[in-house]
Amino acid sequence: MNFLPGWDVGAFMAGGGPAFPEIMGTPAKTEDGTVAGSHNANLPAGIVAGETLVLVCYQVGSPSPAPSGWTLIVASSVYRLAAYQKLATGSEGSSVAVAFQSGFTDCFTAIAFRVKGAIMFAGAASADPNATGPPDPPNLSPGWGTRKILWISCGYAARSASADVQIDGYPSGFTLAQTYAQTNGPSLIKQRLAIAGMNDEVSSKNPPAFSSTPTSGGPGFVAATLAIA
Amino acid sequence: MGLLGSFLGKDQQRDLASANQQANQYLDTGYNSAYGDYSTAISGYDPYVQSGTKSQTTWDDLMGLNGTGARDAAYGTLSTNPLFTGQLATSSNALARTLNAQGASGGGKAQLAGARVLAETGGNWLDRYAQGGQTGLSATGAKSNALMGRGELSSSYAGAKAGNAVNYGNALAANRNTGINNILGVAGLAVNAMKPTPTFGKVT
Repeated sequence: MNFLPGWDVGAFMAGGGPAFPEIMGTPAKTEDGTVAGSHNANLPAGIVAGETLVLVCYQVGSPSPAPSGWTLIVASSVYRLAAYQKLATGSEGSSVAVAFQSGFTDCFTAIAFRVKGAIMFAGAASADPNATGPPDPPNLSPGWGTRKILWISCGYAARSASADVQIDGYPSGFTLAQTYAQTNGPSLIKQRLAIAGMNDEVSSKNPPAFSSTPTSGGPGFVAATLAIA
Repeated sequence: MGLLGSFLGKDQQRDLASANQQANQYLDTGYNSAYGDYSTAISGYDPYVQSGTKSQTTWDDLMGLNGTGARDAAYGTLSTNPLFTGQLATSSNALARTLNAQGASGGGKAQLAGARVLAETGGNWLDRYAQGGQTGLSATGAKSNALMGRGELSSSYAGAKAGNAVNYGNALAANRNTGINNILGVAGLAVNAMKPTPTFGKVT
């Protein structure tokens, strides 16, 4: 029986046991200031079949639809910070269409990256909207026991066009794939999205907060923690 | 109505109408009750039919029967399912401990063992989906039987209603001449009474 059409078992078992999944190449970011109901999220270059693609994005409205062929890992509820994953075929192209909940329009930020050797995914999102910052990724215990996990912290901040906000620091210890994307919507909110990763062989993780300026004000701050193994 | 009504057949017509109405009421009550029971039974199978259909679709997707897009999407669903990942984590963690204890933590053997763990865990889940599909198939069969039963019930009900209508019509038709016959019968008696008593052959 061929139950392994794309999963990279070799990378998964590198070193004689489940290995740390590896972020490949450079994450692709999308900073689309156009106010619309759907946008295209840029995908990273050099996608290889059998890798997993992870997309972290802002999707106003809840529930918003998953991009075609992608599986939701986790999403916050209102100012929707969403993370999706997809088993790569290598023919994804350079972008994927992301739609908002019907009737909602806004500008768009997204970060997508490639992961090698990943077979399992879990996530947790903070409660939102949260007018008190900075974005603080919640504790996540995937139920996998102690193992080599790639942890991803995701932070999102938004304020009105007349009151700027910056995510100006990544969670301590999260040094992998540090990336941010930001837009200045013409009439709506300013968006700031950031991710950072770390490898840690533990059963759960409560990442430190991002730092932001300022640390309060609406619409709010949202954060998520992803576990990839 | 009294004697005159009976004499003219009106009472009989009323009795027939009453009996017909009562028979139809019994039929309606029985039919509605049985139809409701069948409908309850039919809808009770729905969750199992739907779950089974989804299980079968997932199995088809995982096997690649619905194309690579559906297959990869099904893998995506599986790899974010905490139950699946929990089992895979347990199995692969145990494998890692064993390999490390044997000093065989690198190379092709470890990869083969990892592939086996993955295939076994995945295979177990395929079996579950297949089992779910079978459950759905059984529920679909049971639902079909209940639907057929409900159909036969409706057919019998319609037949019984039609039979009642025919019988009622026949009974009314039979009763229609009662009054005339009775009148003709009385008239016959009167005619007979007016006839002269025959005297022929009378022994005097």
